[in-house]
Amino acid sequence: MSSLPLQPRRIDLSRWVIYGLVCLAVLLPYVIYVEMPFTPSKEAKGLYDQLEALKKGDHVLLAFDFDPASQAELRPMGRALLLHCFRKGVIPVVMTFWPNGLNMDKEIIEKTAPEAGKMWSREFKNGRDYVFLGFRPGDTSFILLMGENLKTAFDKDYYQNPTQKLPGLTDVNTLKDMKLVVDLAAGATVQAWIAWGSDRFGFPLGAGTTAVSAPDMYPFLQSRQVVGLLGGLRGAADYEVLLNVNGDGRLGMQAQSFTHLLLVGLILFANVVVFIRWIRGGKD
Amino acid sequence: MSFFKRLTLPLLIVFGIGLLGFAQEFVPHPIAHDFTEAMTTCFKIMGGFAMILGIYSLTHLHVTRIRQQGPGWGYSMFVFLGAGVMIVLGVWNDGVGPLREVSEGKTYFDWGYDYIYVPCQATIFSILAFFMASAAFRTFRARNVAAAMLLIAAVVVMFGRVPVSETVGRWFGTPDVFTNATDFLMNGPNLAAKRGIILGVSLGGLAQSLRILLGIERSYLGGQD
Amino acid sequence: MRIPLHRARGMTLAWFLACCGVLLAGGADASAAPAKVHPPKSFEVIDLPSDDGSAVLVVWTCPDNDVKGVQYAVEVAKSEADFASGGFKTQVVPLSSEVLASSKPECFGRSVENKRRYFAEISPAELFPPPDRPKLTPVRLNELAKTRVITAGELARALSVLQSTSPEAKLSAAEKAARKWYEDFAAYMETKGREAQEEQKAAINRATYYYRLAVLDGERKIYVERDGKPAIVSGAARPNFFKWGKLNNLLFSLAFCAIVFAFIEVAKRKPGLFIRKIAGLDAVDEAIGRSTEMNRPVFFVHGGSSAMGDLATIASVNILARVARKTAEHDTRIRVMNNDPIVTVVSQEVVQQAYTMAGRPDAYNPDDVALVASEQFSYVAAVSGAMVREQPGAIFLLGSFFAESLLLAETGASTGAIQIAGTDQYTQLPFFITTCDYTLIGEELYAASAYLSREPRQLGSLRGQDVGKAFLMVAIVVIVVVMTAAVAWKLDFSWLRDLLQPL
Repeated sequence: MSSLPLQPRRIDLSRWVIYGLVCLAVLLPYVIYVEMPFTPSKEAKGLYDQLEALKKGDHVLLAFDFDPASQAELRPMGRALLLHCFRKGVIPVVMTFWPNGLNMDKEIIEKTAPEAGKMWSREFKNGRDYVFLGFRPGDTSFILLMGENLKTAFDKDYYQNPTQKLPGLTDVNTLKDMKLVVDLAAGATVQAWIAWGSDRFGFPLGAGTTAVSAPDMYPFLQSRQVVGLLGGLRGAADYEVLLNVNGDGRLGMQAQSFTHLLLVGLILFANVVVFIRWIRGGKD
Repeated sequence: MSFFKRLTLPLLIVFGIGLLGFAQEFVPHPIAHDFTEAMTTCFKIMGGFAMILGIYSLTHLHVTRIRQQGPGWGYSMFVFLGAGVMIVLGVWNDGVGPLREVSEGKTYFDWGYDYIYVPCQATIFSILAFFMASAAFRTFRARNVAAAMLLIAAVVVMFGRVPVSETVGRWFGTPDVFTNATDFLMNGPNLAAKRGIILGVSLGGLAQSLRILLGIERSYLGGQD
Repeated sequence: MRIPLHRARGMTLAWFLACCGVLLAGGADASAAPAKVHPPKSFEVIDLPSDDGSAVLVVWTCPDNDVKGVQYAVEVAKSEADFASGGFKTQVVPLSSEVLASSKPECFGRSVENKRRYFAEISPAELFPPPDRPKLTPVRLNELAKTRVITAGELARALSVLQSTSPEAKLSAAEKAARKWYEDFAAYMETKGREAQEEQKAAINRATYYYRLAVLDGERKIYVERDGKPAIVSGAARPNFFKWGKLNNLLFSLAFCAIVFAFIEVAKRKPGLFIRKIAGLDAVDEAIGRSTEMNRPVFFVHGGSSAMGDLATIASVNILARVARKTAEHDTRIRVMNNDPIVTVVSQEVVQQAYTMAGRPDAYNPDDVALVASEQFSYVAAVSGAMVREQPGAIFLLGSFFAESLLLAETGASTGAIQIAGTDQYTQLPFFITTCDYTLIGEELYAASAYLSREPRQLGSLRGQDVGKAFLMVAIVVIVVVMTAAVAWKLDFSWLRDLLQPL
C-alpha cells in the first residue's frame, strides 16, 4: 500500500509566540535586576536547622543522586549544603548512585571547597575536611551495606585512597555514625533512603528534589521521616538565603518570577478572551 | 516432560521467587538477608547480559537504516559517531586520550562530558519550560466550575512559589498570603488526592502482583493469556 | 515570782533561737541523709524478638521506692567464674523513658505493668568484639604464602613493595605495577577480613552469656540477689523467623488476598462481572483505526525510566500485546520505543507472538521494537525526533514516566496524533491529562489487562481489589469519626491508635 504524502504541517503561531515570550522572560533578569526579597520556607528551614545544630567534626552524608539533566535545580542545593558543612566544620561525605553525575559531582566539590576556603579563610582538604566516595550501583542493597559497614561498601574513595586511612572518616564505620543524611534526588532514591536507611538505622534524613517531585515528599515531611525538604530551585534559593550566600538559586528566582508572571498573565489573558466571547454569545 | 512445557517452568519460577520475595520481608533471620543479596546479585548479572542484547538491537536498527538510507539515516550516523568518539576517549590511555591532557588535569573524556554531554542533557530538560508554558496556556480555561477551580488553584500556586508574590503581597500589607495559600493547597487538597491515588495504586499493584504470581496474567512472558 | 521583763524577753528570744536551730539542724540532717536505693527483686534475660540474633534484653521491674535519676549496671561474662576473676564487661543503663518497656510494645506487649519495667539491650559482639583484622606485615604475608593464599612470586612482589620507600614519581613501570597490585591485594584482604569479622560477630552474639544486674548507689553496686549471693542469669540471642511488628501488615495482605481469591471464584461461576467504562482503554481500537485510515504508524512508548520490575511496565506490556495484535490484523506498522534492554527483549517477544497469533508472522520487523536509548533524555530526544519525522497517527505513552512525560506528550500533541497515556506516577499525571486525549490514572493502567481481555479470573481479581479498597475507605471514615469523638469527649481510644501505628 503506498503511503499518502505528508500533509504540510499547520504552523501553530501561538505556540511560537509563547516560546518567544518565555525566552524573553528567562533572559530579561540578566539585563534588568529587580530586588525580590523572600522568606525561606519552613521545609528548607527544617533542613537548615538540622545541619546548623551539628557540632564541628560531625559527619554528614550527601547523596548527589542526580545527573546533568537535573543539575539546574539540584546543583545549587549541593553547593549550598557543602558551604554550610564547611562553615560549621562538619565533614561532608559525598557519594552517588547515579553514574552519569559522577564527573559533575566531582566538579561541584572541587569548585566549592576552594570557594569556601576563600569565604572563611581556611583550607579545606580532600580526605580530611571532606570525602568524596564516588559512585556505587545498587540503591537499596547498597544502602543496607553502608548501614552495616561503610568502609566495606566503599573500600576506596573516588581518588583511590583507602577509606580506612582517611582522617575524615576516622570515627565513621556505619551510617549510624552519620549525624545527618541528605539525598539530592532527581529520581526516586529518597524513598529508598527512607525505607532502607533512616527507618532501619535511625539517622535523620533530609531531601532535595526537583520541583516536580517535591509534592511526593510532603507525606514523609508530615510523618517526620524526612526532617527537611528543598524543593526545586526555590528550595536552593531558600537555603542560600538562610546561609546568607549568593548563588544560582537566588539568581534563578528572578527568571522564575518573571516566567511565572508571564504564565499567569497568558492564562488570564486567554480566559478573558474566552469570557468576552462567551458574553458576546460566540463559540469558544 | 510436560513440566518443561513452554510456560509451566517459567510460571513456577515466578511463583516460587515471588513467594520467597514476599516472605523475606517478614523474616529477620540472616537467611532472608542472604537470599535478598543473592537475588540482587543475580539481577545485576542478568542486567549485564541483557545490555548486550540491547546494544545489538540498537546497532542493528541503525546499521540497517544507514545501509538502506532510510528516513533520518544521518542521525543514525551520529549515534555511532558520538558513541565511538566517547568510547575511544574513555578507553585510550585510561581516558587521557591520544594527545596530552587538555587543561588542569582534565582528560579529553572529561572535556567531552563537560562540554557535550552535560549541555545536551540540560538542554533537553530545559525544553520543559517552553512546553509547560504552552500546555498551561492551552489547558487552563474556565469552561466549567471544576475547570475554574483548577485554574484558580494553578494561578495561586504558580504565583505563590516565586518571590514576586511576597513583593506584591507587601504592597497590600500581607506578604505571606500567597505563600500560605500555596502551602494550604499543597498540604491539604493536593496531599489528600495524592494519598487517595497512592492507596488505589498500592491495592492495584497488590492485585496485579497476585495475578502475576498465580499465572493469571502472562502477557509479559510473550505467551497468550 | 515575777520575772523581770527584760529577762523574759531574753528567755523568749533564746527559746526561739534554740527552736530555729533545732529545726534547721533537723532539716540539714534530713537533707544530708542519703535516700535508700533498693535493687529489684529479680530480673530476666530474654532474646530480643524479631531480630537477626544480635542482641538480648535484660528486663527488670522497678522497685516501688526507686530514686529518681538512679542508674543500673548490667554485667556480662562468658562464664560464671569470670565474675569472680573480674573478667566481665559492664554496661551502665541510666533510667529514662527510652528504656521503659512500654516504649517497645513490639517486644513487651501493651500490659500496664510495662510502665514499671525497664530493659537494657545487650549486644555481646559490642562488649566482646572479635580480634582486630591482622595487618599485612611480612610475617602475615609469609603465613599467607604458606597457606597458598598467594604464590611465592606474589609474596616476593608484596615484600618488595613493603620495603620500597621511593616516592611514586621515581618508580619504574614495573614497580608502579607492583604497587598497584599490592593496593588491590590489600583492599581484597581488607574485604575478606571484614567478612570474617562479621561471621565472628554473629557467632559471638549467639553464644550463651551470664548476666548480673546491680543498681548503682554512687560508687557502690547493690546487686540483685538470690540466696544471699548476686543472682546470675544466663541467656543467648537467637535469630528469629518472624517480625512480629509486621503482623498487622501480613494479616491485612492475607485478608486482601483471600478477598481476591474469593471473587476470582465468584467470577468463574458468574462470568460477565460489571466493570465501569475506562475511556482510555475503549479508545485503543479507535486510535489504531485512525492510524490505519491515515496510513500512519502507531507509536508505543515505554516510560523513560521503565524497568521490567515495575508493575507499570508489566501492565503496559499487557496492553502492548493487544495493540500489537490489532495493528497486525489491520496491517498497520507499530513502532515500540524501549529504553531498557530487558524491556526491549520482552516487547520483541510479545509483539512477535502477537503477529504470529494474528496470522502475520512475516510482517514482524524486529527493528520496529528496538532499544532506542538507555538514558532518560537521550531517549526523549530520539523518540521526539522519530515522532516529528514519522508523524504517527496514534501514540501510546504507557509505563513509569518521570520528567520526560511532558516532553514526549507535548511533542506528540504537536504532531496531531491521538494520544493515550497511562502511568502510576502521581506527579506526572497532570502533564498527561493536559496534553493527551485519554489518560489512565494509576490503577486503571493495572486494570487494563483485565478490562481488555474480559477474562473472568482477571475481572474477579479487579472486583476483589475494589472490595478491599471499599473496606479501607469505610475503615478510614469510621476511625476518623471515632478518634475525633475521642478527642472531643476525652474518651480513651489509645488502644486503637496503638493498633494502627506501625509497630
